[in-house]
Amino acid sequence: MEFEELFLKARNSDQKAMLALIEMYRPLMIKYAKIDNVLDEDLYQEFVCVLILCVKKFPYKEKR
Amino acid sequence: MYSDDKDLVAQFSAYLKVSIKHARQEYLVKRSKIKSNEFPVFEGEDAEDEEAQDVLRHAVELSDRLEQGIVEIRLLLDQIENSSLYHAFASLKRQQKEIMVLRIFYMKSFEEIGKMLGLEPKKAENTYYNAIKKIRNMIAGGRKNGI
Repeated sequence: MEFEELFLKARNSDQKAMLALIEMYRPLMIKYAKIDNVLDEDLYQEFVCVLILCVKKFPYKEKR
Repeated sequence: MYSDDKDLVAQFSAYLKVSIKHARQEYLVKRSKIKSNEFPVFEGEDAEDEEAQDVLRHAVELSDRLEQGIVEIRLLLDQIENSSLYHAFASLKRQQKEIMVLRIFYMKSFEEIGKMLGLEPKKAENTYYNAIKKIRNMIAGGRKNGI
């Protein structure tokens, strides 16, 4: 599946697509969720929320 | 609008990364505020009556633990009230923190610090001053960004 398709599905509240996106960006979120080299679970959860918000709010215009 | 999928991936990733960085910053500020409002709980209620003795006992305990190689970084962190200083200090590497704590809190010489951590005294000294420089830069940078 192409990223755009996945992204649009997630944007339209498709849970599976959203989970796939979360899975895709997990390494990035884990990288930033480390404080003193220890993974902060709460911070990671915050990032998942941020990701969901970003998918909804990203200024995206569909191709014509 | 997007020439291909890669463009969208790159743009969305950049967007997400900036958001994550903001969220991280906010989270750290919030956490440091919570930490600074916490009080240490002493065991036993006679702490107030024998305050002087307690402090002494505490100091002995500290030096005992230091001999076992436990450096109480938290003690210094607890005394920092300024949040940007706190962040700067918290973001240092473990070794830098240990050297800072040993130097400031335990008032050890660089030679002693070197011996404790298995470093050359000169290396300990350099690390110490580098850490201070880093903290200064971070605080200055934070001000520039309006934090």
